[in-house]
Amino acid sequence: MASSSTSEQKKKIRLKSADNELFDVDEDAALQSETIKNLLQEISGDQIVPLPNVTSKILAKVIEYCSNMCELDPIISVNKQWESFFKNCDQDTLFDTILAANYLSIKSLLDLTCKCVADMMKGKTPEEIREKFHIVNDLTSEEEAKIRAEISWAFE
Amino acid sequence: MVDLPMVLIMDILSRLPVIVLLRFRCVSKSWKYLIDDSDLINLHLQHSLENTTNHAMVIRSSYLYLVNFPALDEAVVMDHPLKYDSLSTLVVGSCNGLLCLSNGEGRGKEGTIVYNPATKKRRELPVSKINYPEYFTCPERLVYGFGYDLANDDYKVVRIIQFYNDIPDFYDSEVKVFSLKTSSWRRVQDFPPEYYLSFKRQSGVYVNGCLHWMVILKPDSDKSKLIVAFDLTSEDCKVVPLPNYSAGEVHLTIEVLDQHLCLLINYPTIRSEVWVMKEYGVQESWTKLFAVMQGDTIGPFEYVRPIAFSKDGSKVLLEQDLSKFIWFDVETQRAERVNICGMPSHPEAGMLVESLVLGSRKTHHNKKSNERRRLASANIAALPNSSTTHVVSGRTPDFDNVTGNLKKNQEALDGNQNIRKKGKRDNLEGFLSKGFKLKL
Repeated sequence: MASSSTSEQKKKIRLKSADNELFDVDEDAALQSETIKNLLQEISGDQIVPLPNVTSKILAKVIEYCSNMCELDPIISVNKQWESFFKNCDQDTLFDTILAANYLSIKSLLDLTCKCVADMMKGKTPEEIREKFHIVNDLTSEEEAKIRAEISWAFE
Repeated sequence: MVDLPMVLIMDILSRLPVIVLLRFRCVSKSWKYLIDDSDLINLHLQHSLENTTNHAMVIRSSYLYLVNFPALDEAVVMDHPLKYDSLSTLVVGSCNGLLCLSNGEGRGKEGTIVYNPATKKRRELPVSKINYPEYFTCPERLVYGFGYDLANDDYKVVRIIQFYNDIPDFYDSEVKVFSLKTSSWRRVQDFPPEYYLSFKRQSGVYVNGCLHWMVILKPDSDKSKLIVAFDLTSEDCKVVPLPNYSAGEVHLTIEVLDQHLCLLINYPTIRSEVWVMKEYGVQESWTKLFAVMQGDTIGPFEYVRPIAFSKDGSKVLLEQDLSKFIWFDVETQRAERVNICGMPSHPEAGMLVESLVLGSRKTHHNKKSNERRRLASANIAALPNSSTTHVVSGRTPDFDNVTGNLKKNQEALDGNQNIRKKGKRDNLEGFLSKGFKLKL
């Protein structure tokens, strides 16, 4: 079994990013994306799969993630590595990856990246959230005081 | 700059603890609106239930206590409106983040409430007088149950009273249902006269939209036991089949374990078996999960009760003899005692999932909130729509055909989105786009 699978060339899928970069990806890695799986049923043979919503920078990361998920290493440790990557990368990359994971329909990646943002938010005060995510506070000071008073115990 | 669409922002928020979301209500108007919205409340609840996050163990002793689950580190006295000095409040039931607590059939602190310990929101139940039939001065059985009526999106408290004595034909019953939506009690069809509730004060076990009680066909007999389910939607009773278990002197009790109906079969001095009905209502789906042998890994015991599974499902948390908790490994049968800091004596446990249910804006779609919703969407429509999709420029001609399909595909995906479903949120998104964005 092992020898036959190594001698056989693994089937490759060619993906094209928004900025027209081409990526050759192992089929089993590419098929982690439900969107790509559906697209492959629509297009014939060796056509290129266009992914106009994903830039090459993000697509490269997504492909790396999907390939890792196909490897034999225990998923848990692979996941831990990716979690630490997303926690330390810049927020632009993290948010773009969330959008890509949602568009490509890769549930495990979407779960992981959304969890990272949630973890990032957990310890923050409302003021820090406003600052971090560029949110304008449109509550009047009376309104805000009222909300805080209702749940003063949550701020203790 | 990156904008996340509303569905993804909701996804992220649904992963946060309740207390954090309560604090974030004062970030901005739209954050408050979103966190109070029933869609987010439901999504948050679903996420917590599916991933065993935001869980706590509720311990009843002289007070009520909350313990983080699965950390089980420290028991903290629960602050609740029925708290009296050392009066042991009954936990009637726990469902979707709400507890039904009772100190009796009276008013105020002597009464019954529905309470969300995570948001501290509560609803008091009005007093419902017991109508004593002739010749009876006290009920023989008086039980409560609390659960969720999915079809009507309503939480209900059920009170069943049975009156009977040694004289045949002297039997009467009364079943009343309290609906959180209408905030009133209503008498419904009587309890089937052929079934006698097994225990004087046992609360109904909520599973799958029904409350369950053990009943017997003859008063004070241990034989012919059955499980009766009270359907919270149709408000009538049906029998749930028992598994085929080995005969002998047995003691049967029901519990809920991981949202499934669970049967405890205790063969005194021999072993205690834990069975789970994997597919609700299907007799063949009863599965024996494990048995705890007397005098084996945990020594002699009167009873053990399963409380919850560990996150990976390999262990079950057991309560033993109103005295201690044990992590029991189902495979290896190994037991490990749990040391909870500040644990009260004689603990009796149940589970709670922390949720925003019973939050500040009505969870229930009653007339008033529908009206408000209608008004809200009228306002939403007037506001400019946000652009949440990425506009792709530089598309080459050979893309067109495929992107057509792609669009179709995306529509299909959106249509029955199993990943993150859209819906009426498109409107909400327009409204919220003004102040609610995660931008960089």
